[in-house]
Amino acid sequence: MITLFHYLSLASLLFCIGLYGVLTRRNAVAVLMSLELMFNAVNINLVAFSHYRPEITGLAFSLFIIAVAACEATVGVALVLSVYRNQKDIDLERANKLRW
Amino acid sequence: MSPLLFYAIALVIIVPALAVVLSENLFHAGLCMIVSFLGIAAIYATLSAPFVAAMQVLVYAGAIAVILLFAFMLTHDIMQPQLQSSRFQQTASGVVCLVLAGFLGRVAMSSNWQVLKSQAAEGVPLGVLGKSFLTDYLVPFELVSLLLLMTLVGAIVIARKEEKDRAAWENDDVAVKP
Repeated sequence: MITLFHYLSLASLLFCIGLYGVLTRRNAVAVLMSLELMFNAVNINLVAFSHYRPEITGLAFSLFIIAVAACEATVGVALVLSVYRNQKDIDLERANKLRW
Repeated sequence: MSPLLFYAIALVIIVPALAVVLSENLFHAGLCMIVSFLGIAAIYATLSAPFVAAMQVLVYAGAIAVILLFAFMLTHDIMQPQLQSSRFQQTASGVVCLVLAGFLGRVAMSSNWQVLKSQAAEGVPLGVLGKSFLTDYLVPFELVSLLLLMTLVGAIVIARKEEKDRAAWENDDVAVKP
């Protein structure tokens, strides 16, 4: 019998995997990928809650999160390209200047 | 839903997600990310949210994955080895993530979730969702459209070459050529 607990633990596992990627990756694009995994973990939670308590709020919020995540990925990629142009790589250990 | 199906889908999500954060080759990581997103779409389908599943496939597995793979290919030489963070950083991050996972699992297990029996197996009808977007959630809905517009403009402004940069680059090109 699959209960809410199973979905929540799946989501928390996925969240922690994404967090590990954000903490350890040095390539900015890889950090963005891990960030998307964390977004998805939160979304699984919202949809699972909305399934087990039939309300519309969870579904609506999950759709808003998908839209905001699309915006976040776009702006993130633009920033990565901008850093790459100035520094010739996207190593986050070296991206420590606020301006050139 | 049957436990077997759930665990199969969970495997399809978790294993590629591990590959995303651990793989040496970033291109493989990006492809694994698409598989993981599709698995998450399957989870939404089992949670009686087919519209969210469709959006997941369209926006995440389609648009966001393509954007990230493009960014990767524009900024990185695929043949180059990946820079790894230090052993200490990896160990510390692993410990933090394991502790957090254990904590979250404990909270999820010990909480007394008030589960209402879902009366309709097919979940919320799509029409109700659409109506709520134009009534209860009208302001956030319009704000999201504004946010998308701002993102469009902002991404172009951030990523475009500035004029003096372009002049410097062209001079570099001239200088490099014999």
